[in-house]
Amino acid sequence: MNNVLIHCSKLSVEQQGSPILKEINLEVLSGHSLGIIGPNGAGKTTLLRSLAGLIPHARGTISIEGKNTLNISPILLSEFLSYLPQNPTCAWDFTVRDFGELSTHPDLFKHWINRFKLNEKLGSPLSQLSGGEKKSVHLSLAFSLLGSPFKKVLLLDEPTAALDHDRAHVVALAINEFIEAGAAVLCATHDLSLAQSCKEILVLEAGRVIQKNAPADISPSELIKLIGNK
Amino acid sequence: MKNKFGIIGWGFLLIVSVALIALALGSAGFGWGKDYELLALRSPRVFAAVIAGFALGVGGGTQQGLFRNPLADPGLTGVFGGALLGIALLMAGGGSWIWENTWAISAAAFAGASFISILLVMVGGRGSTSKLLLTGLGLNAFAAAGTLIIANLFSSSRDVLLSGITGDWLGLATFSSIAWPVGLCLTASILLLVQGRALDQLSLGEEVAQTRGLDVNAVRRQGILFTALAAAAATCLVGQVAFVGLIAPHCARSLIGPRHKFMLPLAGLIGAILLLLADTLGRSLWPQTPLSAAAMTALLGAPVFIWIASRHHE
Repeated sequence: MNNVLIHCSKLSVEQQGSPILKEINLEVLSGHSLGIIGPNGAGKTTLLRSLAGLIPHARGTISIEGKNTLNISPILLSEFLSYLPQNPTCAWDFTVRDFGELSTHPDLFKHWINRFKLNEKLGSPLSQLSGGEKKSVHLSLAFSLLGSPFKKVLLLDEPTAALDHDRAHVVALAINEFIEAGAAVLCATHDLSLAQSCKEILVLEAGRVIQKNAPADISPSELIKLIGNK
Repeated sequence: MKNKFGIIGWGFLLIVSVALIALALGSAGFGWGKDYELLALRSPRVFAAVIAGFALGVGGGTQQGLFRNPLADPGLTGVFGGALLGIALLMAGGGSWIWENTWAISAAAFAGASFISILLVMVGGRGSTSKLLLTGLGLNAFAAAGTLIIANLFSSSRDVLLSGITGDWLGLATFSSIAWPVGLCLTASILLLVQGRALDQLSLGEEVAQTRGLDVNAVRRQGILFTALAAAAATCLVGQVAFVGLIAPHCARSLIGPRHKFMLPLAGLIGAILLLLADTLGRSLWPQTPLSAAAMTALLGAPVFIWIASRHHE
């Protein structure tokens, strides 16, 4: 039986007086993937950042594996999760190999670099990679940080943005492998096929959950509309 | 990896060679003098330049890593100015007592440098490159004005402070006068060198670093405090000297890559070589009218600064 890995209750976030998330209640089981969709400004990124412990003024409760994580120290929280932000950056011109050395699991990093077909670019600095290749390097780092034995939660913000079809497919396969191993994967996305590959879809609009269903229960045309690609 | 250690090894060899030349070169010509008297005279100056340059290189590299900005430099962001203002305030209130208690000069410099560093973080630390540099420019002007006012009001400390502003204190170095700042430079450098891995994580952004278990606030606090200590102690040895903390990390990154674990020690070595070369050339090229180390580093550094600024697109 799958356990509840993530539990949110009445999670609310305000920024400069404006509500961004309004009383979100959410449960994600281990072995489940949740696609978070909605138009721009719906609160997808804020929800992921709250779960990652990056919004200290968030109200409500968040627990991962039964432990309250809302005001937990970053060191303790990092034991539970790996997070990829929407626009990952690097201040300096690191090589792909340098990224591997930043990972706690360099062997896993190399595994994912191979899966993204970047093994011949290990010595290349980021400035010589395309946008999609850079994104793949950041994804490899985030995936490798799940480690072995697994951390339980993977938070991905627009993981397939800038990726070509083949690399987007690697991301979808990776998510499936992680959930089969018992992780919970949450990804905010505007990518229709990625959303459909998740076990459940959460629809956000203006900071509220308006729907949470299996992809099969939402028609493709409605899904396109909900994603914001009218 | 072997290659990186090799580059650092070459840096050590180069600094020893330059130090030997610097010990033999001066206004009295080439050589160590009868009974090594010139060697004894030049040793504290050369030693102070090496240690201050090392601290400036490591401090500059750390500040750039903390602000994720290749144009950050304790000289340009007002930290040296703050250190000098701290010393000026002490001289205004301390009288002759301070010359018997030279530790107080280091303490005052550290207090001034920390004050300016905290203001820099509060006002300009989380914005664009322009915001950081403009804030630093303003703080530098504020600190320089304060130092000049004190120099004007207290004639007894005027000459010392003015030569500090022009970065001309290396000529005053004796082993007893440099003991405290040298100790503090080394302490600060060691404390900064061990932050290399944390600065590497910070390169990916504060939020990502935090989700990877880095206590970002603690790293920033320690980095800023130890950089202020390095800059303050270096100011006590040299006076205000800009650009070493800017150029050294930039050269180190070109030679060894951007990983702080390797870049910071090499930046320290390059900083030491730069400052020592600047001081040696300044006092040897025109023996009758020697140039301060700060003037020489500015001559070298200003074009490099403009070059980096023109390449750095926000």
